[in-house]
Order: sequence, then C-alpha cells, then structure tokens
Amino acid sequence: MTAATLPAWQKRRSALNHDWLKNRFIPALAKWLNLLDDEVEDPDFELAFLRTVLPQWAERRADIRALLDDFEWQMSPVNLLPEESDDWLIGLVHALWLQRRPVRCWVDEAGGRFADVNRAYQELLDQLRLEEPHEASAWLRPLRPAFARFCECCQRLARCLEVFPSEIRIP
Amino acid sequence: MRTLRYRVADTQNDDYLKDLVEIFDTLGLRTTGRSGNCDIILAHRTTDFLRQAERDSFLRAGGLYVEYTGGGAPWKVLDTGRYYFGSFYELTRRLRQLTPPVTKKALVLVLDFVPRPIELLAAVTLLSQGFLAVQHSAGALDSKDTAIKMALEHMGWPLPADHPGRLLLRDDLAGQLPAVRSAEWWRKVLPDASSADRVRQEWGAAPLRELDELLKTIEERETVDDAAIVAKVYLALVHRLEHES
Repeated sequence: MTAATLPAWQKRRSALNHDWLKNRFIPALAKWLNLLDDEVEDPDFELAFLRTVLPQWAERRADIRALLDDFEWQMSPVNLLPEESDDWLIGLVHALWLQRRPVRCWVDEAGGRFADVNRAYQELLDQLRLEEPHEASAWLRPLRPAFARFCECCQRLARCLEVFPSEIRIP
Repeated sequence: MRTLRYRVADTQNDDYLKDLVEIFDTLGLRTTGRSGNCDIILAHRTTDFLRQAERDSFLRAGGLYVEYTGGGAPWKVLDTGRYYFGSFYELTRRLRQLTPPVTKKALVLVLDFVPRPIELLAAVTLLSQGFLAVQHSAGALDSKDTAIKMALEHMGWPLPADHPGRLLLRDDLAGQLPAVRSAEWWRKVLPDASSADRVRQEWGAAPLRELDELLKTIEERETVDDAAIVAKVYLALVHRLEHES
C-alpha cells in the first residue's frame, strides 16, 4: 500500500461499522434480546429501545448503502495516481484492479447482507404494527424471533464490512 | 529460550480477543492472568486501558504495551518507547508477520516499524502498468522476455474478453504508444532530479540497478524504450508494495 494517509472511505467505514454498528447498535440489540429473555432489567432502556434505538437502522442505512456504493472508486488505486493523469491510464489502472481483486464480489456480498438487514427490519416493523401499542418487553416477547433475526442479519453485515481492505493497494 | 507471556485486556470485543489468542497460540506465547508477569499487554484503548501508574510501572519493568482500537488509527510508537497505539487491524497484521519461536526482540521489531509514506513508488508502479499494457496492445513487446511475461501476468493483462473492466479501457490504447515512450509522459510524475531522489529514498533498500537506469533515462533522454527494464522495475516495486501492506 501506499497512501500515506488513511483513506476517507476507511474512516467512514470505521465510524459506521466499528463505532456504530458493532460497538453500539448490535450490543443494544443483544441487550434488548436479553431483556426479552428476562435476563436483564433496565426500565429506561426498555422504554427507549423502540423509540430511539431500533429506528437508528432507518437513519443510518443510507450511509451504509453509500459506503458500499463508494468503495469501488474511493479505494481504487487510481487515487494513487497524480492529479490530472490521462483518462486512459485511470481507466486502465481501475480495470486492472477489478481484474486482480474481487472488488465487485465484496460489494455484491455486502449488498446482499445489507438487503437482508433491510428485509429483517421491515418484517420486524410489520410485526410491531400488528402488536398492541405497548412498549413493555413482556408484550413484545412473541416478536423475539424477529428481533433475533434482525440482530443476526446486522452481525452478518458487520462481518462482511470487515472484509473490505482498509488501504488503497496497487492492483 | 524462555516462552514469552502475554495478557489481553478487552472486555468488550470477543472477536478481537479470539483473534489475538489464536495468533499468540500459533506463535507459541502463553497467556497470563491479571496478576501474572508478562512480556506484553494488549488492551482495548477505550474500555480496558491500563491506568497510567500501572502502565508506567509495566513499561519500566521492560514490558511492551499496546493499546488498540477498532477504528482506523494510524500506528504510533509513543514517546516513552515500547508503548504502541494503533488499529486492531494493523496490530494483527504486524503480529502475523512473526514466526515461532518468538523472541522479545522480534516482537519489538514488528511493533516498532513505522512505515514511511510511499507515494512516488506507487505512481511509478502505475505508470509502468500503463506503459506495459499500451506496449502490449500495440504488439510492441518481446513476448519471450521473462520479466515482461511475469509483469503482464502479475498485472492480469490482457483482460479476459468478457471482463467488466474492459468497458473502462479506451479503444485506442495502442495509440498511446508514442505518449508512453516519451520521457515527457514519465516526467509529469518525475519532473526533476529531486523527484527521482525521492523515489530512491522511498525505495530505501539496496539500490536497484533497473530503477536507477529507468530514472536516469527519464531524466536525461527523450524516450523510454526498454520495456524489459520497465517490467523489472514494475516487478520489484509491486513486490515491495505488497510486502509493505
């Protein structure tokens, strides 16, 4: 590798995947599952979960989608070329990168996991709408499988996002 | 030789803990409990860092102390020495360079290394790719030359007929032949003697004859004709860049 500074894409991934998804959102989902299982008690968290924690996915998902969409060009070795390089050279260097690394496989795989999370989230919302409007965990216990599925999908997405390289590399 | 001992302080990230235990198992290091003597302590910076007094006393006793974070922090050797900070990714990448039996000196070596920024070497590598691909497209390469064959193979050139990357290629790639043979094209990246010196500096290791020759050609001549030299430079540079990453 060779970029002297940390690529902006890597900083974004770090903020989204490490700081938020892995270290805040997934642990909160896990805590909620424990709460549904009566393994922990936290009345404040119980009240806040549906209002402020769960909707964070809807707030952040566009950023994750953008992260995936931006990967190919922001982490391409064309970023190591001097500014105002010839167009043909930029195309060539990028094409060689696509040839030597499974760039689009990484993005497609993560895109699939991202879609899984969205599906699980929507299913969860659909089931929540059918429930009585009550935020107590006891009432929501029947929805545990849907919460667990959502949490599992988030974990898979987080693992998938870790696979992307964190440095700009020569193809 | 004494078996080195380590301790991981991370109560939040089971996956990090698991990775480190796996690496140290492979390297033959033994873990210790909180009170046991050890040679290296690795702690998650935000949650399990050592208090200053404990850290200072451990460092004074000759221990190595690493604080890591899951984010993308650049690797740092902190002023006190033997005190390191960086991303978990970078930490494990460094540890995986070790082979058993691991000595403390070897540990210090991989942790102490702070990479110099490499920019021009990367640019020269990419120009070499462009040069070779254009020469090949124009049918101007000696296909029997070993270095040229190896370089093209490494680049993955030519792209397979159905490769999506082909859409990014200009139809008139072969038409760029006069441009890439012109030293002026290379001089856009290496305009003067000082930039050539910087390339040599970034290369750092024992001088590479082919690199010197290419730099001299770019500096002093009008054309860059010797594809075999460019191929050799390309192979040496990618080897270096791949090992630095």
